[in-house]
Amino acid sequence: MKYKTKTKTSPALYSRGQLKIQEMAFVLVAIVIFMVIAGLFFIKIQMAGLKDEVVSQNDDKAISLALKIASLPEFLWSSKNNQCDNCVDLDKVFLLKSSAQTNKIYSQFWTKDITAIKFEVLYPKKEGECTKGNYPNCKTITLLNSSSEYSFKSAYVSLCKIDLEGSRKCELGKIYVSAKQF
Amino acid sequence: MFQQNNFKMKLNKKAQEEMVGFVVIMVLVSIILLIFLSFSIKTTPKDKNNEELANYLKSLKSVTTECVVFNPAKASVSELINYCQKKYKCNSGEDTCVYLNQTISNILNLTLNYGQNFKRKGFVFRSIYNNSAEISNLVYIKKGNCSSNYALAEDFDVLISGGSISTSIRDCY
Repeated sequence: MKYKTKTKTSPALYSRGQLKIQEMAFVLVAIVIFMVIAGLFFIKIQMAGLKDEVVSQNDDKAISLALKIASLPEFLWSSKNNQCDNCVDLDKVFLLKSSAQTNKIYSQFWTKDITAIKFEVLYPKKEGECTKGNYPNCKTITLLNSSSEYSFKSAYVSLCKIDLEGSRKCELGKIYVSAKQF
Repeated sequence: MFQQNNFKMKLNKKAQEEMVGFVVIMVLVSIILLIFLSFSIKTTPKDKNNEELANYLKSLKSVTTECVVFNPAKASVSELINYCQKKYKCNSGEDTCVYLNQTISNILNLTLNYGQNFKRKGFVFRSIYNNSAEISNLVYIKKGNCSSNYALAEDFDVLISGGSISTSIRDCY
């Protein structure tokens, strides 16, 4: 009799408990699925940020390299009276271009990693590549041009020279550098 | 009667437990969402071209203008900003502030592309003189739309006569 009562009541209790466990399991599965989706979404956002970060760091490196090249003694504006940050001596650049065409030492001045270097005057507006005939009324001075494939990175610089009256004249310009690692 | 009441109470208790469980899950989910949101907000605002902009500002300030205040040297933009604050005039008779605004406007127009088709939507160039007694705008040039994200480059000049001049450029993208 006792056994009978047990068998009568236990299936109902067992199924209710089972239902509870099932309910719990569903909720847990739902939470896990939600967490996985949220995690994937988060990782995707982080990866996108990482890509941007890498591009931005590469750009920063390239700008730093361009500025480093601009501050080489061969280019740097140096004067006791007229100190100038970020200034490039345009006369030096033009002379270096002329020297590189004739002098063997300067023709091998740049490492093989750097494929092109170019200076460009942005303000005031000028046109054409600089030659002995049109300097300083010209726009660009191409110092190096050793490859057909370019990936130019640029940085703003001041392009300065001594004018006919003997005082410093600076123009707004850019240095473009192309290197294999860009 | 007693049995019926007991059954009702048990049902209520169970419903309450379910509610508490639901609330706990909702709170957990909202906390997780908040954490994700705070991470994503933290990573978005970045000034990518600050260094480039700082170089631009530095180079712009070095540009030599055609205005001569003290013979024989032509003044640079940086010197003109100082002369404008002192209300000097160019030897040609032109007001240094007017000349400065025109020159900077020309430089910006020629060197910075902006608009709907460009990454840069607009820009603001500003030069402010600041001392304990007054704050005055020496140059204020605003072009395009500047209500969205921006990068800022700023440069300070401390004057011997007192006060300082802050020159900034805001690149809006």
